[in-house]
Formats: sequence, C-alpha cells, structure tokens
Amino acid sequence: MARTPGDGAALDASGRRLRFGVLIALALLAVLGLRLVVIQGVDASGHATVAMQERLRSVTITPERGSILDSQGRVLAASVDRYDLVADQRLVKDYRAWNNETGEMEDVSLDESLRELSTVLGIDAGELKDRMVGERPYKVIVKRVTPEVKAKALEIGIPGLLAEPVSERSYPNGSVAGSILGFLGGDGTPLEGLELSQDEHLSGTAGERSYEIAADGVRIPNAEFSETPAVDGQDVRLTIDQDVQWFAQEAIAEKTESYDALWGNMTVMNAKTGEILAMADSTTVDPADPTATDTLFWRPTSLTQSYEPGSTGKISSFATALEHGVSPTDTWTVPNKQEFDGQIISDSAPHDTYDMTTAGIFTRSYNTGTVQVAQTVDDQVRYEDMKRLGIGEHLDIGLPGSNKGILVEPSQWDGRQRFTTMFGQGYTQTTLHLAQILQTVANGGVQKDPQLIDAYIDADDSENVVPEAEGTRIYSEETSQQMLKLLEGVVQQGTAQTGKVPGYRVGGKTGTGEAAGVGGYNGYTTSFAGVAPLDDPQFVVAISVHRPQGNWKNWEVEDTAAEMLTYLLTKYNVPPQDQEPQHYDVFPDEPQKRPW
Amino acid sequence: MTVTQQRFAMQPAQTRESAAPQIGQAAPWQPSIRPAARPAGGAVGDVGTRRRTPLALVPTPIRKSGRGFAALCIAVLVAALMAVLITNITVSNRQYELVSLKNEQLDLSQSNEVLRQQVEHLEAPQNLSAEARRLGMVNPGDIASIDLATGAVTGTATAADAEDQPGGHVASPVSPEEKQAAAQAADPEAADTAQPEGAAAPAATPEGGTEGGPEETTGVPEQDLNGGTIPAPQFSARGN
Repeated sequence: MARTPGDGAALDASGRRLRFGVLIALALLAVLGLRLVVIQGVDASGHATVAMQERLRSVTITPERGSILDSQGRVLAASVDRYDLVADQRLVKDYRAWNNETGEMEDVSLDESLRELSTVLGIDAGELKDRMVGERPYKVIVKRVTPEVKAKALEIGIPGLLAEPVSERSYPNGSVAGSILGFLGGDGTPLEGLELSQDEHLSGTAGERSYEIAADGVRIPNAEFSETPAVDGQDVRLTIDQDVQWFAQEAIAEKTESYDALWGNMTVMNAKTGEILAMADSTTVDPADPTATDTLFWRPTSLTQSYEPGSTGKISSFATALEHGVSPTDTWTVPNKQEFDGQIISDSAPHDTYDMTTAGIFTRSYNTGTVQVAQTVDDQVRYEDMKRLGIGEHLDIGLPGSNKGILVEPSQWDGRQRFTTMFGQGYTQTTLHLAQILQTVANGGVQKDPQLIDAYIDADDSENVVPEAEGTRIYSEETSQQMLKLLEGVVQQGTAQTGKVPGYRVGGKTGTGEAAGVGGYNGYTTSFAGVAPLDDPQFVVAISVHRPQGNWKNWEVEDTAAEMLTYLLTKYNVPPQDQEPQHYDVFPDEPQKRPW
Repeated sequence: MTVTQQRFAMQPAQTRESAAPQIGQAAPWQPSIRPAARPAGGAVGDVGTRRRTPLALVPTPIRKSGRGFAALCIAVLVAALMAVLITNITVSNRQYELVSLKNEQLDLSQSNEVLRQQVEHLEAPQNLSAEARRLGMVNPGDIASIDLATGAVTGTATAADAEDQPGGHVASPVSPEEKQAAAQAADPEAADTAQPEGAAAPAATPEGGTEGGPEETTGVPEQDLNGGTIPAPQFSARGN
C-alpha cells in the first residue's frame, strides 16, 4: 500500500492523541500510586483505625434488673420498659408528611399536631406548647410513658420528637412490704431496703455489642462483630408472703390507729425455721412515691426501732431460771412491794400478798415475784443468755439499718438496773429481737437466725436457695416445754386472755415497758409475743405499739396477735386440735381465781 | 466452503497416506508437529504449499472454541453477578426481617408486660380485699376440720360476723394507668425524683385513646413509614 502525505498527517495526529492519552493515564496512575503509597505506606494502621471507627458502633447492653418475689413467686418489685419523650425544639415546626390514604405528601400544621399530642399525653395543650416550642436542642417533654403512649405520640409524626428508652421499677402491691423492698432514686440508683442491700445480686452485669454499620445505618453483614452478652440480675425470692404481709399491715394499722400511737409494728416468723413471713408497720412507704411517707417508715420499724420491752423481757429471765434449777411449780411469797438490796420493787397495781407458783408469777406478771425467781441465777449467767438470744446484737436479715438495741455488761449495771433487767427495763431491743427470743423458746430451745431471703434465682431459672441456718441451742428441750406451758398460762388465766384462738392452744406474754424520752420516762411501749399451736409450734407473732394514748390498763395488743394467728392457722391449713390447756396452776392452793 | 467443511475434507487424506511407514521416524524428543507435517507433504509432492495449508488451518479450531469460551465466560460472569445480587438482596432482606422481627418481639414483650402489670395490680391484696368487700364478703368465723382418715371432727365452726370485713387501712396501689396519668401531668423538669402528692388524673385521660385509637391493630400495624415500606428498628431500655 502506498503512503500519502495525508495519511502520514492523520497518523501523526492520532499518534499524538494516543501518546497524550497515555500520558494522562500514566499521570493519573501515578497520582493513584502516590495516594496508595501515602495511605498504605505512611500511616496504614492509622487510616485503618479511623475507617474502622467510622463504621464501628459500640452499644452497651443494659442488663435487666432482677425482680423481688414473695415466697409464692409473686412479683413484689419488677422492672418495666418506659420511654422519656424528648424534643429537639429547633426542629419543631410546621411540616410536610406522607398521607397514606391519598398517597402523597401534604402540609401539616404544628398546632393541629400538638392538639393531637395533647390528647394522647393528657397534657393541657397550652402547657404542651410551652414545652415543645423554643430553641433548646434537648427538652424533656414527659417522663416515663408506657410503650403504648410512646407509640401513639410518635405516630403523630411531629419532627424533633424522640423517645428515649428508660427502665422503671414497678411495685404492683403499693405499700405492701414497701419498707422491706426499699426503692430506687429517680435516676435508678438504689436508695433503700432490699433494692439497696441486694443491689449486687439484682443489678447484673452490663454487656457490650460492637458492630460495623454502613452509611445508611444498617449493620454490614459478615463484618466485624463482637458481643459480650449482658448478664441479667438475679431475682430475689423472699420468705415474705404478700397476703400475710398485707393482713399484718392491716391489723397493726388498725390497732395503732385505735390507740393513736406513734407507731406500731408486727413481725411474723416461722417458729421452726426463723423465716420471716411478715414484717409490718402501722404506716408503710409506697416505693413508687417514698416522699409521701415519713422517713421513719422507709425501713421496717421492727428492725430499726428499739425500746425497753417491759414484761415481755420476763420470757428470757424465766427461761434462764428454769434452765438453772427452778421448777415451774416452786412456791414463792409474792407481796405487792418488796425491797431488794435497798431497791424498792413494786407491781403496777396493788394486790394482796400471795403464795404463788413460778408459773403463777409469770402468768400474772408480778415484778416482785419475777425478781425473786430471776435472782436465783447469777447476773453474769442471765446476761450471757440474753446476749446469746441476740439482745444487743445486730440481726442480719439482709436489710440496712438494723438496730442492735442496748444491753450493757452486768459490771456496768447500777444497783437498780440489776433488778430492772429482770423484768424488761434498763435495756432495749427491737420487735424482731422479741420474735427471735420467742422463736428460740418455741423451737425446743434452738435458735434459728431470722431469715428474710429465701433464694436467689439466676436468669436461667436456676435457684440458689439460701441454706437454712443450723441453729444454736440456747435452752434445753425440757425448759422449752415448761416455758410453753408458762406462756399458755398467760393466755388462759393471765394478762393475755383475749389472745385465745378457739380450737388451738396458744401461748404468749404481754409487756408494757416505760418509754424513755427527753427528761426521763414519759410514755409506754405495749407489746405482745405469741406462739401457736403449742403442741407443735408453727408461728410466732411479735407486736409492739409505741406511745399509745390513754390508760395503760386498757391497752391490749394480744387480740391483734390472736387475729393474726387465726389467719395464719387457717391459711396454712393447720387443723384445730381441741386439746385441753396444759398450763400450770397460778397458786399452789385453791382457789385459783383470786383478785389481781 | 466454510472452515469446518475444509477440515473434514482434509482429514481423511492425511490419515490415509501417513498411516504405517512414518511412525518410526518420530523420535520421542522431537516435536510432534514435524512427523505430522512431513507425511502430508511427501504424499502430495509439493512440500512448501502442502506444509503451509494445514498450519494455516490449525487456529481454526481454537477460534471456534474461543467463541464458546467467551460465551461461557460471559455466562459465568452473569451467573456470578446474579448470585452476588441475589445473595445481597437476600442478606439485606434478612437484615430488615431481623429488624422487624426484633421490633415485633419488643412489641409483644411490651404488650405482655402491660398485661402482666394489670394482673399484678388486680392480684394485689388490697385490691382483692376491696373487691371482696364490694361483693359483700366478710372474714371467716372459727373453722373446724374433718380428719378424713379417722372421721374425727376437730374445732367448732362458727358463723362469720357480717360486720367483719377485711381491709381498708392499707392504701390501694396506684394502678399503672393512674400512675401514667400522674406522671404525664407532672412537669418533668420540676421534680425529678418523685411525682407530686395526689396528682389528680388530668381531665383528658388517655381513656378515649386506648379504646378508640385509630388503626389499633396488632401484629404488623399500619405504621407511618414516611412513604417507605420498612420500619425503623426500635429499642427498649433493656438492650433488646
């Protein structure tokens, strides 16, 4: 083929274009190459990290807080999902929204939407507008709405309105067992009760989830992903039965109200195991609204309030005396007033001088006789028994704020205290101590530590039952049997005759202690500790009412105990025994009925 | 004449003429092309042209199979792309499905929670006793029991006291609905820890809303999806 000049020119032009194109391509390649070197060579790991950070999202997985259950597994406290509605006020304005019916965008006026939201939230429209409209990027509109309300509120579609998930504690029984459960603060910090003391078990361990997301916010499948699952908190099952607790609260509230007392409380215990079935106060905090209740009632007063027990303190004095050789039928001469080592001890009401049995003195609760019986035992021995029974010691049932009471050593007792401690003055204890003392006597002399927490239940439903306490023998079986008969005498013909329960043998001891205040004794604490059925003791009830008004002769709380025991015996299907009372005679000679 | 016809025409001649005598000449180390070419040339006589013709024809089978190969490559490519596309679509659909299932799970667990709270509220001892009072029930009298083994009756049953009604001292728990209403009435920034005492239920409780709410359906509710078809993920406070 022959070459023409025209052909050569065309070839040159196309050749130049080709070379030019190749040069540009090479230049671009060089730029890319350099960039590659910069990225990969200069700071490869740094860039990789930045890129990863762009994509990686870490989310803390909040563990679910454990529930608190009663002995039957009913919920006393549980966590529920709630939402805080929050507005970015800068975005709250008239807007366009998609209409599903017409299938197109349309203008929506803000006022109209706010009116709709006001109906959903139940907030006055004007008030709502104040909260919604403004310049603040973050404004809480309403706290803790249910998922249902949240869904309705967001459905309206007001721009800038968001929902933030929060967890809220729900206490379905209100003030039943409120002081035992405790409560959380507004930010979820545990503040009182089991919520505080068992927080370690209830709160669980937070987990974390990291994953990569694409620019549109959807997780990139098969990309780096790591998850440390949250460990949900354990449920705490109590020995409390919510029905028994409620009944006890009703009973003690009624009694306290009728005497216009400062406070009253009741502790119900399983006589064989030391399990607390109820710990009731005359007034109880509602954990959903703690500030509405006096702080005194934020914790069970059975645990936190100590007082001089009065005659219920004779239970330990007599048990110790019986343990050390005194017989229930020994005879004593009991005057109305008697001098011991220069101290005049007198009874609360004048009575003739009687020849009485040991059991008779207990039945009629005469102080003069009590001192005679109790001083047969060395002070140190009596003190040690009281100490072993738990007086002056903290009772750890897993709740904060236990009051240990005051019991000083015999060496520090003054001349009168030596005698007053025999009949329940000169030292203090709580109602829980009283219940524990009677539990020891009723359980064949073996003390079981009071127990409030039955089991911890893991998230996978496996139960970690708190082992039952082994128990400590304090009195002999024989002393225990004798004491039960002494206690029965009090109910049959002594100071607690309204404490009877038809069909069952009941024992108990009353007490009216002088309450110390500013400037000396200026009030009373009236109390009763009862146990039933005596053939096979099951339940112990201890009640005290602090600073009742009126005349002490009219105060009685044993009827409340009888009401409680009746309820317990029926509820737990203990059949009536119809057995004859087996108490001892009050007087060695007839007649048994003599004036007080 | 097409290439294919040529090849078929040539082959019989080659094989017939080159059959037996030439085999010995091909040493094992010699390229196989030479023995194959020589007998073809020797038989016809004109060595130069004869040799070139079969060489020219050699590429033809390659060219032919090249087309098939290209088609195969494209097919594989298309198939691979389709597979990737389908995988991607499936995976992202699963993602959305996962999101919607999680939302559904959350909805269900939350509506379960609401029901559970209602049950717990009704089961509260105060509410049970209030209901019992409303029905005119009273505390029982003394009980008696029959031992089925011996037939012995113990205890003496007495009539219940018509005035002895249970309860009344322990305040009833606030129902979840009342609590909600009180919480909503409170200014969230005024009191942070507790709601004001006795916060009365506002005039417009969500009563009407709960029953006559528009489009109240369960399962897949007709949500406002802003024109889209995929719901956004939701979260609960408990990391679900």
